[in-house]
Amino acid sequence: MTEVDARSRPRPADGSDPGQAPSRVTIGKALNLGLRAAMERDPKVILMGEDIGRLGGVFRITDGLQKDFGEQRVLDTPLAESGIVGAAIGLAIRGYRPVCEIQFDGFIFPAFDQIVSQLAKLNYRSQGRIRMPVVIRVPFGGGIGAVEHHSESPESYFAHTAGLKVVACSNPVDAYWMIQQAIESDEPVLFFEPKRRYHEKAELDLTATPVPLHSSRVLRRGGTATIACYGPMVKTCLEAAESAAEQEGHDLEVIDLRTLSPLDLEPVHESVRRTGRLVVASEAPGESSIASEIAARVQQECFYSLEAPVVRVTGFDTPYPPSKLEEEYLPDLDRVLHAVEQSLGW
Amino acid sequence: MPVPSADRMFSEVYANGSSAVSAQRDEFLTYLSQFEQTGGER
Repeated sequence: MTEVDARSRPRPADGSDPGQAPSRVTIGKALNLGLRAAMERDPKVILMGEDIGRLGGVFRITDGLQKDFGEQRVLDTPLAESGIVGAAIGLAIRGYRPVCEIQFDGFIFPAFDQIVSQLAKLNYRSQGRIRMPVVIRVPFGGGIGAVEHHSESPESYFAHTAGLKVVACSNPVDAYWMIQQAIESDEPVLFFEPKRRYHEKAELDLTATPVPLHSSRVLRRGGTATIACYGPMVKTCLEAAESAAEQEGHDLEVIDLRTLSPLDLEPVHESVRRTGRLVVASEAPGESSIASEIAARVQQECFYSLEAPVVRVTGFDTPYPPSKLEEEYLPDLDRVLHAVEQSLGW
Repeated sequence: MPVPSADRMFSEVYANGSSAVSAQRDEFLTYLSQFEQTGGER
């Protein structure tokens, strides 16, 4: 494969610098800028996926990158997820840092064997001689009115697999920094992007110091109860906390987990030791899930601080329903507040 | 096409049913009925 010198990339016709961030950006644009920054920094970073080149991806996350970095670094692949990840594994062995886009969450399952049987295990199998700096980007979760296979939350499958790192961004600032940190990692990272939040905007300060990739973050301080959440549920939980403050005078602490494997639960433990109550919110089905793992660990670490059992508010243990029922399926503000009331009423 | 009722979401997950899924359905329908009783909107 021909390497392309990032410094020689063409500029847009208007002469602007496409890597310069506007002050307020969406999650989608922040990811685009993060990918661009990573590609400029390291010519070994290449992007692969279905329609990510000329089209810029179905969500336009890679918009303009093939034009600026060329077809050798932004590859339109066949519709074959197992082939995309398999090729990425081979490229990683040859020293590249592939970033694969899985077009929709439900399409990751054809690549499951490559991810779990090969990508996750090559470092272990080779006794550390073969690194796997591969990022797999996955737009995940529901709420966009899509058809079957387009609204899944498969993160628990991968968090369950030793050798993989799993993260989920929830806002533009994290999207920008976390995608770059994931690409710089020498380990395979499943990077989950909240597709129904792609258009959420926030100020992006490129001079800020990012927090470490595998760390959770307290977004809202409070003493009544703790809510732990990630990805698309973070906005829902922050809105629930504001509503609870206005309507009930409750002061809820909201923690964005950000990293799902490894979990960074010390901020959750510290919070629960103060509040005595924990609600874990996730779109994924609750059975054998990230939420279950957190509940187990918190009861183990904070048993004598808990005033109530840990409450999970999750998707139901059913297939993701037809889009006409997804509003019922997805945990919304009311269900989060209901879970908080369950905890407080114990 | 009419909007299906919420309980349809829990139907036919397993060929022979599931007590766990049925319990989730019952809990959710009870939760929804609270809105109907109070005249509130979700």
